[in-house]
Parts: sequence; C-alpha cells; structure tokens
Amino acid sequence: MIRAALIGNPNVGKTEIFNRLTGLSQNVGNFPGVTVEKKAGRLVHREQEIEVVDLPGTYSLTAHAVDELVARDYIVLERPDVIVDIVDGTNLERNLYLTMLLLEMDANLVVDLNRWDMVAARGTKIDVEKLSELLGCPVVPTVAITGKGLEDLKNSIVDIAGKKAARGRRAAQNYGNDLEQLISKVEEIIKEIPELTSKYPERWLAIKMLEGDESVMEQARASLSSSQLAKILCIIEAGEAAIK
Amino acid sequence: MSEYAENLRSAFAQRRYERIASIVDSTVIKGRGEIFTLTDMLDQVFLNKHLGIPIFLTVLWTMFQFAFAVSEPFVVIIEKIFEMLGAWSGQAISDPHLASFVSLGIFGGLGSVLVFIPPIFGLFLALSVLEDSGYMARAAFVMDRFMYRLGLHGRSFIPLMIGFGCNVPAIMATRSMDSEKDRMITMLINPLISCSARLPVYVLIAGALFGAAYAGTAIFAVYALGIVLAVATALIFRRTLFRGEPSPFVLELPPYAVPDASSSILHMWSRGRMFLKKAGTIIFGMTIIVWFLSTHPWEETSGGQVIAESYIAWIGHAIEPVFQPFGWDWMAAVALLFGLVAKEVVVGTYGVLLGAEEAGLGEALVSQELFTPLTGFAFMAFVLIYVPCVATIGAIAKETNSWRWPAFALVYQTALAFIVSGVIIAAGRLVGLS
Amino acid sequence: MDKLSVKNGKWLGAYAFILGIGYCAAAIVEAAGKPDIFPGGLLSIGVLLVVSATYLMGVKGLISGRRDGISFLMGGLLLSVAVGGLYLLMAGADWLMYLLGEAEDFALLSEISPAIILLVIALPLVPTMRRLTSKMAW
Repeated sequence: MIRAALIGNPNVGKTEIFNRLTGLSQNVGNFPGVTVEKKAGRLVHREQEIEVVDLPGTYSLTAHAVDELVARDYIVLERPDVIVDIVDGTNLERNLYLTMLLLEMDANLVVDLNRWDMVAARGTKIDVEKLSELLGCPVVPTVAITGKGLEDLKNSIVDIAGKKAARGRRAAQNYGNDLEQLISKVEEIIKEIPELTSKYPERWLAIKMLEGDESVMEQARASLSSSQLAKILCIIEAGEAAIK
Repeated sequence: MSEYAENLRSAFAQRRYERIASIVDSTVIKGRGEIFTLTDMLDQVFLNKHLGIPIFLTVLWTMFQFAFAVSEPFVVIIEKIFEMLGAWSGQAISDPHLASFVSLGIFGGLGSVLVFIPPIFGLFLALSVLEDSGYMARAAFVMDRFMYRLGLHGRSFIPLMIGFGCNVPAIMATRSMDSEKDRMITMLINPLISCSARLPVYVLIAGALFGAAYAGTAIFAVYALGIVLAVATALIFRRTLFRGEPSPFVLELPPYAVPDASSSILHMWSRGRMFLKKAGTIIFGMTIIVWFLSTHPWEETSGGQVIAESYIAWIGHAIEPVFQPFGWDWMAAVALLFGLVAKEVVVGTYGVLLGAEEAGLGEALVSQELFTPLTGFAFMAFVLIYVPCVATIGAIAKETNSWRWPAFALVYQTALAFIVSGVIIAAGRLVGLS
Repeated sequence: MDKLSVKNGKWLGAYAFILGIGYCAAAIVEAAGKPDIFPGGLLSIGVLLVVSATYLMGVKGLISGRRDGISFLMGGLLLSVAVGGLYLLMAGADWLMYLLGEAEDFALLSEISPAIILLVIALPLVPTMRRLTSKMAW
C-alpha cells in the first residue's frame, strides 16, 4: 500500500482534491496526542492501494502553531511514501515557500499545480516541465473543482512512490555558499549521531538547528554530547555574526 | 523561540524566497497582469462599505430560515415514524419492562431528540455552503471592524459562526488564530453561541408556551441573548483576563467558488454524523438512565405509571429548592441535571417523564402547567447559558491543554446562567408577569 | 468581459431600477400586511430592502457603462436567487405539511410571495449576465 499525504497553503483547493481522490471512503480521527482533525481515505489506482491523509493547511512548518507542528511531525516521523504539495498556480511565489520547506525535509514530493484553469484565464503561462526539473519532482497541473488532471496526479503518485532513490539534494536547494557551508558543517556533526539520523533527514536537522528551531534544539540537547552541542552552538554563533 | 539565531533565520527565509523568485522567473510568463475576476466583482458588492453588513445579515436570516422552516415537514415525518413504531411496540411487546423501556426510553426519550435531525443537518448544510463558497471569509471581513471594537479579532468571527452548528468544531477552528489571547477569548465565549443541540429545548418550550405566532420570536430572542452575552463577556475578558489590543487582522480572501454539491454534502455529513454519534452514545445512554430512574422502584411506581414514587422524583425533589426561586418544578431540575451531559438530554428527559403520548410533549407541558411563558423563557435562557456540554468542556481542555480553563468556563457560565435567568424572572415579575 | 455598451447599459440599468423599486414595494406591502411585525416580519422586510438597495446601487454604474454596475446587478441577482429560492422551498415545505395532514389547507396563491414573483422577473437577466461574464475567471 502507498501512503500519501496532502499538504498545502490554506484555500488552495486541498479539500476538493482530497474529496476527488478518496470519494466517500473517508474516516476522521485525530493526530496522536492533539485534537487536530486527521482525515484519511483510500483509493485504488492501477491496482495499487493508496491511503491518503489530509494534513492541516499551513503556510509554513515552524514549531509554534499546533497545525504546523502536526503536519511536520507527520512528514518527518511517519515518513509517508509520497507527499502531495498542492500549490495555487495563480500565486506561485507565496505557495512555493512551503514547497521549499518540504524539499528541505527530503520529502518524496509531487507538486500539484492547482487552479490551472485560472492560470490560463489570466493568460499566464507556466513551463511545467522546467518547473519540475528545477524543483526536482513531478509537477502536475489540475483543476480540483472539475476534476481535470486528477488521473495524472494519481499516476504521478503511483510512479514516484517506488522511486525513493530519486530523492536527495535538488537543484532548488542551493541557499548560497555561506549558508551551504554552515549546513554541511552542522551536518557533519549530526552524521555521527545515528539516534537523530535514523529519524530525521540530516540536511533538515542542520537547517532547523541553524534557524534555532525550538523543537529540534530540544531533541538535539537530548541526544548530542555536550562537546558536540558546543561545537554546533559555536557554528551557529559564528554564522550568526558573519551574516548580517 | 531562541533569540540567538535571529539573523540566520531571516537569512534562510530570504534565500528561500530568492530561490523561489529565480524559479518563478524562469518558468512563469505572467499574463496581462491585473485581470478583473468574478471574485473582484462580487467583492465590490459583498464587501461594500454600506451593503456589506446588511447583506451578511440577509445571508444569516436566509440560513436560519432554511434550516428551521424548510425542515419542518421532515421533522413531522420522523415524528410520525416514531409514533407508528411506538404504537406497534406497545402491542407487540408483552414483557412490561421491555415495553416500558421501548416506548418511554427509546421512542419517548431518544425519539424526541432524533426528530431534530432535519433542522440540525439543515444548519450544517447551510454553514458548509457558506464556507465552501468563500462567503464565510467575507463575512468575517465585513464584521471585522465591529469585532475589533469588541476587543475581538476578525478571525474569531468564523469560529463563532460555526458555533451556531456545534461548539466543538468551532473551538477547534480557533486553532488558526495566531494570538493566544484572542484565541482564548474566542474559545471561552464560544459556548454562549447557541449551538444546534440547544434548539430542541427552545422548540419544545417556545412551541408549547408561546403559540405558533410568537414561538419564532421567543427563539430568536434566545439566540440574540446568546450573542449579546458573548459580546459582553468578550469585552469583560478583554479588559480583565486578557488585556491588550487584538492583534492586527490579516485574513486571506479565497476566490469564490460555486459550492460543489457533493463536497458540501460531505462536509455537512462529517459534522452531522457527530450529532448522530452523540445521539447513539451519550444521549441514548442518558436516556436509559433517566428511564431506569423514572420507572423504578418498579413496584412502587406500578411499572412507571406513578412517576412521583420513582427515584428520579426523589432526586428532583432534592435539588428542586435550588430552582424554586425561578418557578421551575422538580422535573425541570432533573432535566437540567441530566442536561449537563448534553443539552438535548433536557428534551429527552421530558420525553421520558411525560411519556410519548400522541398529544405530544409540548401539549403535555401545557396541560400540566409546568411553565408560564415567563418561567419558560427564563428556562430557555438558562439552558442556553449554563455549563457547556461535556464535549465542549473536553474540547476546551484539549485545546488549552489544561483543566483550569474548562473549569473556569464551567463556573462562569453557570454563575451567568443563574444571574441572567434571575434577572429575567425578576424583571418579568416587576412588570406583572407570573 | 464584453465591453458594456452604453445602450446595453441603459437597458440593464432600467431593469435594475425596476427590480430595486419592485423589492422596495414588496417590503412596503409586507410591512402593511402584518399587524405583529416584530421581529420575524421585521427581518423579512429588512431582507427585501437589502436586495432592493443592492439593485439600486448598480443603476448609476450600469447607465454610465461602468463595470461596478454589473457587479451590483450580479450581487442583486444572487440575493434574488437565494431569497426567492428560500421562499420556494418554504412553499414546498408548506405543501408537504399539507400532504402530511399537518396543515388545514394549502393555498397556492398565498404561497406565491413577492420574493418569488421578483425572482421570476429577475431570471431573464441570468443569460445576459452569463454572456457578460462567460470569459471571466473566478
């Protein structure tokens, strides 16, 4: 069975996509430990069973809002086979921020370019192939309200579920030499702690530490030795001073 | 948030945006720029300075009319089905214990709650359509200035609207609010918004006491009372418990959409089934307890015939003094007691106590002279305000992650219920009502 | 959107004006016909006035061929459909009640409220609106 999760900014048509994918086979529960509603449903496509979980709509994946934390924990801890990132095609600039964060998490991503009809209506042209190449993941245009493109989306989900090897650093993921150096320095230290790397992607951990993310830092304090922690704090401090 | 990585954090955000900008630059050719959409056109009307709020009130009126007036024949159909089943079970079941349980407990108690499925689902459907069409966000937008003056956040508005359906999803909907103070206020006042579970009580009491001509007015008055109290409480909380200005209002207005019938119905169903689940579990369970207490001891009550000899009468008489000043009898006292669990149980309890005769519950209320219009209205107000149901308390506890706030909500609302009902009774007696 | 020609606009403006006056008149009739106005009656009168105001606010824009005129006409039409549709449903509910034996009689004539009549009057505008907005995106 393929485990897929839907994520996206609020108001991009995520619920419609979810309903289109799963139809009436939905069940509603809660994410463990919190009251954030967890909707899940199933479908069968090309003889593959797909379980779809609807994650809360968010703009970002920080540790301070409940919805965002739930979504990100689900992605890093439950490691679904495919993450479908639903993006409003008429507002790529804002929507791609979440996509960047998902790429950092090394998620096995399919970008759903929704509201394709409106993109066309505005006379905007998007080079889907090139976008897919730059992001390093499939990009599927859809129109959730009419169901257009949904078959392509299902195909992409099934196709990419098997291709975990394709993951890794994408073209989109170059944050400039200074930051990339900091990231690799922290990564090097993290690499030695299987306790962390077995659970989380290294690059993501490194970025979150550099950003001073509360919940990751807490994890780090628990599993790093004091000398390792000191080294990382040292890198952060140096980076902080160097970047103005 | 740790303070030491401020620069790094903004550097990361900035680099992400730079990457996005370069990706968008090389893949997107913008259309003729600004285009005028249907959404822009509709917003010219629905967000109009003068028309915005009147149109919202029109929409609200249409929603309630749809839920209450249009569902009437369906209520009658369910009533008739229960009547038929009740009559059939009376003949078919020979064991007196079981017959009493089926006719009083199931058809009288649970049945009196289940007949409210049509208006409750109607309300859920109307709310779903408003949300799915994109209008709900506009309503929040036009009400924002008004809300701000009340010390509330524009975003509190949608949870309050959802509260008309059920307070539990409404309290969950506060999650998208980023200011903790705004969120707390919205959660704490939400139970004052009259949810659909309270509707059965209003319909029963108002229908029986005010007659067809004025029942609607009385029900409208209770809804309005709830809104006024929510507003007043919000103002007080803002000036005492959660001082400070509401955080600035940033709300995105999604484009309008013609609501897809199947997804609106799905939306309604996912909320409505919570009501069915509640009916099947909590309400049914409470009904069994009420039935047991009102028909036992079996010999003394002659199999539930002489309710005055039952355990429930004993309990009722024990707590009756608390409600005596309001002019409510022991039945009202036990109804309120069992209604603590879920407010529909108030009606369910009357259903068991008065029996499900053909005359109907309302007429039984009138013929036994349990309420005057004044005490009845005070009773409706009390049911509106007192103790949010168990599910709501649970939702507040989960969302605030403590038992302090739900306990606080419980105490302040119960106190408020006594005060408001007391004021209604006192004012009514002052002008010569009984 | 098709360019709104002035001639076309004058015609639509007149239509909107008639509807606006029609809803206003309906409100007055309703007010006169009800002895106990508060509050149910009061609200239904208010609703008719809101629809009336929406149409009337579009008249000026339509006559001078501005786009906001069409916006108000469209908003008014939506409100007409919502309110008129509601009254139709309520008439249907009354009829069902009669079939169920809960209502003494069912008088079709008294069920046809002004809101329904005005909806019927407004309906011919729908194809025109569709044509004017057919190329627009949400």
